[in-house]
Amino acid sequence: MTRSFRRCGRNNHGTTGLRVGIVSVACAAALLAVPHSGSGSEAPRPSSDAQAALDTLFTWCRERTDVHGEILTYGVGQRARHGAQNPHNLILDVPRAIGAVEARPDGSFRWSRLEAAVKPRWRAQESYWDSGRTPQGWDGDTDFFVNEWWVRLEAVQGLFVSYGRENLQWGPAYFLSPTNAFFRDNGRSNPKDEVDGMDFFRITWIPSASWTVSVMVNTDEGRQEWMRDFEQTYAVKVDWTGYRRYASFIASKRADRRWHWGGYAGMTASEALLLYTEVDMSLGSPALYPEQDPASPFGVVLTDSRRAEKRLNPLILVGGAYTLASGPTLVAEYVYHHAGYDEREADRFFHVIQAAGAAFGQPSPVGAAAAATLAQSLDPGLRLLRRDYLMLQYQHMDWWKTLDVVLRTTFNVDDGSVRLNPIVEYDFGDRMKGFVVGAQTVGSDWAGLRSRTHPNRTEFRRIGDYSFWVGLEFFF
Amino acid sequence: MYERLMPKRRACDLGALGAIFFLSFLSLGALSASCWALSAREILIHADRARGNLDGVVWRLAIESDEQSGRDRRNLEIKARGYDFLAVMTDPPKVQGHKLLMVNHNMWFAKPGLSKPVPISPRQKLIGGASYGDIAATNYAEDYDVLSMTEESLGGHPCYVFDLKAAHKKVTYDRIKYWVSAERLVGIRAEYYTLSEKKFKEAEFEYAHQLGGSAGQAPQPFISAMKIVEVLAADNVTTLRFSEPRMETVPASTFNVNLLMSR
Repeated sequence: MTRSFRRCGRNNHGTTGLRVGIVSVACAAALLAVPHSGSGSEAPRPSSDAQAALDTLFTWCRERTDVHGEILTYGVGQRARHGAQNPHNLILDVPRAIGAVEARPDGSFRWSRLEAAVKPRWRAQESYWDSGRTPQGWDGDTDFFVNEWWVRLEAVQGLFVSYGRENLQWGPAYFLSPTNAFFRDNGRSNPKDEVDGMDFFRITWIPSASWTVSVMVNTDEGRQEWMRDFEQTYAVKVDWTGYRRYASFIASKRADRRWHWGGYAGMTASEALLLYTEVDMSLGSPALYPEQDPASPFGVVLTDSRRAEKRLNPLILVGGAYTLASGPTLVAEYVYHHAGYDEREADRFFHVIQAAGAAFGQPSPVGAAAAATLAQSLDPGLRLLRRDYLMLQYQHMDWWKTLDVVLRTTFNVDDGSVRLNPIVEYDFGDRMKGFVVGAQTVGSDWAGLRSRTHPNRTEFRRIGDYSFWVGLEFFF
Repeated sequence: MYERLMPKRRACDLGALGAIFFLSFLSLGALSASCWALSAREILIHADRARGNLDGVVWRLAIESDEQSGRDRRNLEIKARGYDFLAVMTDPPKVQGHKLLMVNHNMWFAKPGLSKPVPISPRQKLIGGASYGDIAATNYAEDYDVLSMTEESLGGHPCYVFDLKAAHKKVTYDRIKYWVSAERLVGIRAEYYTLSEKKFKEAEFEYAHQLGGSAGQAPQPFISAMKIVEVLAADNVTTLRFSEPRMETVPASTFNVNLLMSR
């Protein structure tokens, strides 16, 4: 929920990332620095045999290596709400504006049955705070890390073993991927903000063109920042592809021994129409629910009261995409999230936020309890806060050969709040693009739309008003 | 090509007199003879093979679009097996690494920065007048019913002219008028119609490439160019040029959507 805002950029994985990054970039630099035949005339010339061997090695490497990427420069303007959830921006400490430059090279190597890839990243950014814990003004930050890397070996034909840091996503849906036990964010709301990689060990078996069996485990949180403790999760995924349709079954087991079962399926109903669904089932919920507690200074506590429940919690997504003959594609998705808060729980949840927000800054123990409660409520462990959601999307790519437009609207049917995500890209020639990526929340008095509840008591508006990225990408 | 028809002719051998009569018949019109010997479906199967429906083939594809709204181009590397293919865009740099995967007529699109492959419909535009479905090998023999097959000359070449109607709703075009060269059994022209019988797109095909030809097999013609013209805007022309085709074994893992992002 907080991902729609750009963070400051600092994290505690920088050291490891830096080490791996230096090694990877050094390798890439060494690879690129190997001279072409006929170049390097000022260096002492090796013997013709050595030169020929070097040329051969260089050619061998070049034929098996691919390096491309992009340099981005962008500005971010964003505004967090200073309501009870984030009093005076002291909880989230979100900067008001950011200016950044990023280099995102992607390198890959393929030799026989061995494949490897590395995605080192360098980012320099200046952030401006006008509220929060950080003193008002600008603050600079530079980060260097490897967001993704992996090595994959085809041990025997059709059997792949891989290890590395990946952004492992699947499923046909735009809004969210219910069956993905590893990543909550599918990266679709802001394609310019890369999803942080997580470390995985994977075995993929492809017995035929129609079937694939994958076994995977996340071995470390990698670049991901978990608000709670890292949860090691094991998953088995079985994929089937048939004539104009496909289906997958996914079972995952988390560190708390909780099982999830689910899958997704899709079909090409006609040359223009795609239909799909994705379902996840689990017993009970490890999320935090607001329960009345007279001992609490706020009258309500957030607790995992449903952890031991034997009730089935389905998360169901149904969707479809239709491409008009004139080019645009219309997408609609509906999500039912049974583990989400009902009206009574939502009332209690926002009540405890209001109470904790009011007590925030008071002397301990009430002040400390307020801070802890607000931190808990930022991420109560739910994929979505409420139960019913509708997403509508208009997508027109290659408009007038230069323009890609995606307009996405997500309705929280239960509380009436809305999130708008425009994604617009414009081509400036073959190597450069300009982009605007936004997230605007609506829920009360904005544009005449009126929520049934107070804006600070809706899911999409409780944290932020807007976040807009404007920038340029240069491809190499 | 007619040599392949001989076994069927022999099967209908009526004796020496019949053979003389038959040869005379051939000399009067080879076109009629081949028509008699090959069914409409067999002709379409031959034409489909030349459009890429082979057991393992790799080629490069350059697409140029010249429209009122401007010019654009894409270069791709394509690996195909039957109707499945993986297309990777190599140029211009802004689309480098964009991938298109078709498996059993399910299509996915992936690109750097996108977290996962997105399912897409065959109608979605690749560039200009070319849809994603235009990269794929055709399967007209199975996807379409032959309403009629006539003969006419196109540019001085004898042709079979098929009136094809979609056998189901899952194909890119509802109705196609398809000219197949009687000499080479390759599709050389097509007109595409909407549900309302309105012609909206025309295409012409060339076959300068040949594949195979070893181990006693006759070389297989392979498409070298496809020119698409939009009927409602005749200035809008999209040209697909196929180059460096070669037959090679393409493993099933090439077409696996789970490995697509890390290819």
